[in-house]
Amino acid sequence: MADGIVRFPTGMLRVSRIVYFTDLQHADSKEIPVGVIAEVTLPTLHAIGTALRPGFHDSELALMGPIMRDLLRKPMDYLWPEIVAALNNSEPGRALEQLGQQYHSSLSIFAPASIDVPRQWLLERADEKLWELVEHRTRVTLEDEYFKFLFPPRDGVDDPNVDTRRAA
Amino acid sequence: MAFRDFSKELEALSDVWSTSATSTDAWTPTGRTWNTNSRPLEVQNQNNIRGVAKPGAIINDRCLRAAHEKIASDLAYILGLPIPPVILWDRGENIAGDRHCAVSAWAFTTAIEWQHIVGRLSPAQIENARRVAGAMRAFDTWLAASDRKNDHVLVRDDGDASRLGLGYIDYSFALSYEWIGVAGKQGEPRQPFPGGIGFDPQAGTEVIEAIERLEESRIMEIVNRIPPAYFPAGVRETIIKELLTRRGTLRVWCA
Repeated sequence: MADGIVRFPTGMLRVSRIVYFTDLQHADSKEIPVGVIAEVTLPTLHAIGTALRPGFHDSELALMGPIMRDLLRKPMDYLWPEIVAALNNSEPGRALEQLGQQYHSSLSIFAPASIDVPRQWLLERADEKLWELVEHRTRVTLEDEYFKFLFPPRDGVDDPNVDTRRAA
Repeated sequence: MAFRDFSKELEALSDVWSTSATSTDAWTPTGRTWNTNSRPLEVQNQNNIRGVAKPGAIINDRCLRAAHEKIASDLAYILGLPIPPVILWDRGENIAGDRHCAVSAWAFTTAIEWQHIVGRLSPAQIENARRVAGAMRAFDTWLAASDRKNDHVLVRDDGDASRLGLGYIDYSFALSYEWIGVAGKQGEPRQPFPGGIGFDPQAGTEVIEAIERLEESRIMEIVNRIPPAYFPAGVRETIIKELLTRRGTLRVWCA
């Protein structure tokens, strides 16, 4: 504040959708929603979370390429380690970008949309309390974005597998 | 041996798109974008073709993405190299982003980035990939392609372990990007991709011979048909000059 300007703390909460394209070349082909990923970037905290479908219907698996079908049979088992690696290997605020660069074909992680950061996150000073607030709200946001993404339901919607992690 | 293993449908599209810079296709954005460097957006046309358009925003780095993508794709097509077809798309005056885009068709119906699939490829497929890497090393050196990486090599996911379909994407940072001083010049030759498997130098020699055999008029036609709006003054001439002169040193660089 030496220059007399008060700088408010700022933060980002961004959410990307994950889609599997069963046919990249034809626009009228079926797309399979996989889940959502959120990245939280605050002055003292960098975190990531995801809400993924627990699995896919046989009819959906049949439309996937053979190798991706194997990889995605349990989406959390395959994607969560990749998501955590992106958190640990990227600058704060860049994890979704890194993931988007790794997955931009049949399995695509799209550019994120921003969501307003709760002011409480910007005011909280205690690290553990802040993480508690962020984790709780991020989980709620992830589930909300997941159900928005899968709405209207086509073949019924399973509750997502949700996980969150903060950077060390 | 062919380096390009695209479907008949895609080759038919390439036959058409490679003969001109623009088309009468009516492209419609779907509203989805990817978060990669060129901010590409998903588009579809009246013929049910899905494509990727770039740049998806105004990016003030003087990189002539659309022109580079188009020239690289057209040159690859006549050399039989695996870059999917590209067509230019003028989005018109009332666009918030860059109106001068290139639309790339998808190489395969289902694809995976190289790094996610390499561990599951058969020895024969890896050997095939080494051939293509050797061929593309020569091509990338000719075009001064930078920003090459495994993410930009797509692999067809069709379960056929006896064949390998590779699609090379993203040639935005090639051609004039270094030649007009936007970025510093990299050393020659360019690194082979996909990385980590080595490359077949004989495949590179085959491509160099094919590049040397190209008629000057063919190269000039591919560059000259790009509309002026896609280039600042003088860049077209620089690209033609570099493409023609670099052919003479490709053998030395890639030896």
